[in-house]
This record gives sequence, structure tokens and C-alpha cells, in this order.
Amino acid sequence: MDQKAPYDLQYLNELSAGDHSFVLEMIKHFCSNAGDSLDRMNDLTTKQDWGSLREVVHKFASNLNLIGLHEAAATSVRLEYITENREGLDQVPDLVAGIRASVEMAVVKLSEDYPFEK
Amino acid sequence: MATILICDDDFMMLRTIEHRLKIEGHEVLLSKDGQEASRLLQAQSGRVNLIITDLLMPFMSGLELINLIRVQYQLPIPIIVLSKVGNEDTILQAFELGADDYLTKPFSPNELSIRVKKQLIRR
Repeated sequence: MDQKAPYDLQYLNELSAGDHSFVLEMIKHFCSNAGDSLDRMNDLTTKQDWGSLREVVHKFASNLNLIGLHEAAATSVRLEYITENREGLDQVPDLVAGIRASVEMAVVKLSEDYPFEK
Repeated sequence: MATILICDDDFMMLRTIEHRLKIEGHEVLLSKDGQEASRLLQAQSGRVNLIITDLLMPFMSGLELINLIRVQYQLPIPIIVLSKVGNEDTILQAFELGADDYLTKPFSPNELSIRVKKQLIRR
């Protein structure tokens, strides 16, 4: 993995004690399912359903941490705070878009670096 | 080694904890919400040595599960909460309901291992 990779598998490798096949399973699952979470976040943002958005972000953040999307994970913490406290809600669309961009970039790079059958 | 019931509605987290515990030689039972964990506990009565549960889950939350285990089932099985929720009120509530330990996500795998060992020694 080069220095500019938009993901960091150090934590996942540590958790799995370096089991490559397990890491690949997690990468495949993330690449196959992240789109659903992103779509739900977009939908809930449009509906201004802040409680449900917070729940989706809360769950998705664990996956962001596992795959080492540090910037997106930090944004998710901010997003959770905003949606819980209903402060600065005007920032939500940009924050959701930021997470989407980071995740989509990571999925493309992960699919290149760890090719798997779809 | 022990039989450990994990309860988490996130597939990646569930599999990651399972993988880690299996490396250490434990038998692992998986459930994706409190209701499923409750059914497994009833079916596997006496076999589960430790429970690791998330808090925010559909159908039955981790706090409801802890309450069920302690009040209705009257089971003394050690319970470790493993959650992204780290606010003091929730942590205190979990302990008041009967949780034995509380770890926040993202967690250190070595810390999880040590806390699991500690709870298993106490049983």
C-alpha cells in the first residue's frame, strides 16, 4: 500500500492477527455494502430525519474505523454530534457528501489493490 | 477456553470480534440483536461463559438484554459491553443494570483479550 492510499488496514490487520484471508473477507464486504449505507445517509439527509441518520452514521463509523478511513471516521463523529444536538444542521449535506467521496475513493482503490469476484 | 456469546448488529464488527476470540481458542456464538441473543441463551442454557454485547441494536438493545439476563433470567454470566457509545450516563446505566465491564469502539484487540480473560477468571 502506498502512502497516498485512501485507507489504512493497520487496525484490521492487528485485529485479525495478520490473517490475510480474513482481511480480504472484510474488504469485500465493505466494498459490496458501503454503497447501501451511503444511499441511506443521503436519503435520510433529504428527509431531514436526523435521528435515523445518526443511527446509520453511528453504525457505519465502526466500519470506517475497521477499514482505516480516518478522515471519514472523524467526519462521522462530527455528524453524530450535530444530529444528536441539532446544532449546525446546515452542515449535514456537506459532511455526508464528504464521507461519500472518501468512501467511494477508498472502494475504488481497495477494488484495485485487492481484486475479488463481485 | 470458554464459550462466548457476541451480540452486535454490524456484520463486520461481529465477524472481527469472532475471529479474534477464535484465534485465542474460544468457541463463539453469534447474534445480531438482543432478541437473538436471548433465544441463544435459552437454547444454550449453561453453556455460555461470557457475553459481549453492543448497545444500539434493533428489536432489543444491549441495555434491555442486560436487564433481561440479570432480572428475568437471573443469570450471573459476566457481560462485557463493547459499544461506540462512550458517554458517562450510558456507561453508568450499563453498570447499574449489571454489566461487568465496558469497552468503547474502536477497541484495542489486546485490551479486549485481557478483559475477556479477566472476566473468565472471575466466573
